[in-house]
Amino acid sequence: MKLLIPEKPVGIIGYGAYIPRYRIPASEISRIWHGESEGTPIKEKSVPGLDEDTITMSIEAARNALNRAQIDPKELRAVWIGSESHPYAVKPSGTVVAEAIGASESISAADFEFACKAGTEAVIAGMGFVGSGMGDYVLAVGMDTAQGRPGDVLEYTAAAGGAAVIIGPASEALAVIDAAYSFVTDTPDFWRRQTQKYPEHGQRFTGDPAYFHHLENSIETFFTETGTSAKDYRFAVFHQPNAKFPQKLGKEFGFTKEQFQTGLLSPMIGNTYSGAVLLGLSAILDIAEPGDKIFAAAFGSGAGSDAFSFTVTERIKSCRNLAPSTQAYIQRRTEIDYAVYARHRGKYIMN
Amino acid sequence: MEAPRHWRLKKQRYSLTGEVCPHCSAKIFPPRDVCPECGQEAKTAFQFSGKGEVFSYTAITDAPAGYQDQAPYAIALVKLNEGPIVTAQLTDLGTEPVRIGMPVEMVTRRIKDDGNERGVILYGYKFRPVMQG
Amino acid sequence: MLPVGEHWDLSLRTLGARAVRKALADSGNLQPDAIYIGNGLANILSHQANLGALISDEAGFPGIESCTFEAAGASGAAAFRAACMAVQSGLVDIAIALGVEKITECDGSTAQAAQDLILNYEFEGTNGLTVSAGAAIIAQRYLSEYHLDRSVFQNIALQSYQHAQGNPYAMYRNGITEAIYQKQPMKNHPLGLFDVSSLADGAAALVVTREELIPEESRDDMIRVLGSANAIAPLSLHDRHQLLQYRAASQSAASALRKAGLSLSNMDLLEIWDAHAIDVVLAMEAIGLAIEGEGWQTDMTTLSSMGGCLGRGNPLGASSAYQLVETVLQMRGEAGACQIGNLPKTAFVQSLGGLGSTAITHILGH
Ligand SMILES: [Zn+2]
Repeated sequence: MKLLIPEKPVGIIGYGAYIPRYRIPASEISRIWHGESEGTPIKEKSVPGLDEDTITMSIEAARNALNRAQIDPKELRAVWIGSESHPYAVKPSGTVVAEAIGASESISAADFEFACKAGTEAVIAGMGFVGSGMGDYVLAVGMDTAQGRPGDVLEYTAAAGGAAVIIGPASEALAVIDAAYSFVTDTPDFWRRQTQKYPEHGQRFTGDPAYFHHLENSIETFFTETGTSAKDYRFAVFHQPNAKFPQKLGKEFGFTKEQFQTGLLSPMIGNTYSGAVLLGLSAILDIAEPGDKIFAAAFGSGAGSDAFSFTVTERIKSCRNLAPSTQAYIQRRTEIDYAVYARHRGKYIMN
Repeated sequence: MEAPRHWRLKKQRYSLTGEVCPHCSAKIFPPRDVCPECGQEAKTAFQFSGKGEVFSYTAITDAPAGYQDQAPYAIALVKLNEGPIVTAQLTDLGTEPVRIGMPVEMVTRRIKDDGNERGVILYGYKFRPVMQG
Repeated sequence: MLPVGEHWDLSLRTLGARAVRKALADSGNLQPDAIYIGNGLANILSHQANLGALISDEAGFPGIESCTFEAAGASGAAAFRAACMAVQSGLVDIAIALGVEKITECDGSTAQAAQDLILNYEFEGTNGLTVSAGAAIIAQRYLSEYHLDRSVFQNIALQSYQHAQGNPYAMYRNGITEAIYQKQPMKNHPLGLFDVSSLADGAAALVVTREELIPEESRDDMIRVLGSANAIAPLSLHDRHQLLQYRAASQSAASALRKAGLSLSNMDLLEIWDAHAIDVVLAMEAIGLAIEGEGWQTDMTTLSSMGGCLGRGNPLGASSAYQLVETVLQMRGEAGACQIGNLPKTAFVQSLGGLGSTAITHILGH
């Protein structure tokens, strides 16, 4: 059996989004580097404030998740942060987040890194932790302040944001996690060496052999093993490095626009990397109804894909409004130009 | 670099953890050994909600050393719903002008790098206009 | 007293020693037993602690008693009060109170950061507050509470700069017009550039002794210390029960007057702290010279008669020593172009440190 299903059923008992308020239109990036006329992969992307990073953004998303979970933060048994933009190379983000949200000291805290699927990797680990009975509640966060080299095609999309989920017993869940599946190979499509500021990527190699190969494998295996197909889900969310890839992927498997548009946020905010799938899931949970099934498939370069299915429960109705919605963060926006963007992203050399 | 000092104050800084006086119930921030209201000993931790309103404010354009990265910024006295007033920066103001009485909520943000890019990052409370929705 | 300004060619010890020697010459060359030094920032800006040994030796008095007093802007007044207490107690016969500050040793941002240490570092400074921003926050609340606009600070600033025109020791001697004031850039809204004093180098000293030790021929120049008091209020703005009440100022004023057995109405000259225009407003109200909300309306002619911190310049720990020396000059009739009409027989001198968190008041008389 290839599926990942814990002994004790588990689910999401709280979720919370975070997206910083600044936006740079793709046309503004195009104006600087490529001329006005070039087509752009998305409309605009989110940019973190001068005082924000993966830790501060994770703290806010985690507080939102705790508000919806309605548990005492002291009941958490693990705080795991998935990101490829941890503020420190050495020193965990998880301990700062745990302290800030008031978690107990008797927890596991760690940082996950698997390019864009570090967040869902933390979710899978949380499923095992709770499902094995080692603890009742695990906080798993996917959050990034992604960097794109100035002028590189990734600069259009490398955005900031993410979401936190609290994994707990299925009996308390607002969405039960039915099953997960993870598929990985050694594929160098995108990477960043230890002290480098910007990532490198294999250009068109990031498409078929990386994004599509891994997602297709994980989705196909997941569907085969669970005996489901696109029509069994009301919503679907895929990793979304741009607007085009996830739509092409979704259509390949027979998903319709109605199924994937709620979770497709990259056209409005860009690619939030480790945050992308969890943020899309958060947008779906904001409107899903009890009984709805949700399919989610993450992709991380290097490379691998995690697939999940969720079943929404009655509890969603009572806890949904206990924190700001994903759309509230999307609609809260201040547009900035390239000069301000360059300051926010530390692109000016000051010394 | 002053890692011990920031470490000692992390609970206050990260999440506005203060005290409630066991004798007169006054809420106290920052925490201190002697209650400023009744003069008796106070040591019971109290978690503030982080909600409050701007009591007064100004703008800093000529930021002090270590704070230029985020200048210009607004700094305010924020009156917490539970009573005490705290000094803090305002952030994510957007186009809304700051005014006395403006409802604000606490967020945890980067305050500064302790030393330089090699130092510890100092995180702490700031306030922003209350988020809708 | 040395001119306030940018003394690129003088170090901390030279500034201090010269002021000491000038004061002694003025006293008829008394020999000091002790030198009490008021200083705020030498530890940081001159990388120098232990000023007692440094400056007193430089002034030519190895072997005497000497140490430093620090109370932010009121440091010089704290040293003066220490001199009074030492002399009055009989433990010391002749004491010198020196206020000295060397600001220009470092770049401007270092000096600014040093000054900001007079705030609560852990809960104000660390959150990015500066001294002038703190004053601006108080001013903003004041304007809001009393439905006023920032023009209320204009007269205070104009008077200080006008008085400084006649003071050869002042840093800003050109005066400013209403038009210039109104076009000023904002420092920290609602306080403009002219509402906030500038830090500068300076040193001023006074000799304190008992009457019987003063040579016969110098006794006419003698000014009596009739009352002295120091009071503190919470350091942090956020810890003050009433942000718009300078409690320390009212307590130290009342206490000093009580010790002198006098009331405000007996005072011929008032020297009020004006590091920021809002300090004057709130000091006026705290002392009882104006009712709440009207501290800005007062006739300013006898406040900071030689320019105050705004016009003379603000050598932080020395400024309160300047206030005292300037008051002595007025009482002796030696204030030159700044001399007020009738020779004052009594004077009220108040110095504030740290946005009103420390207040030291002296009552002087003939
Ligand atoms: Zn109490």
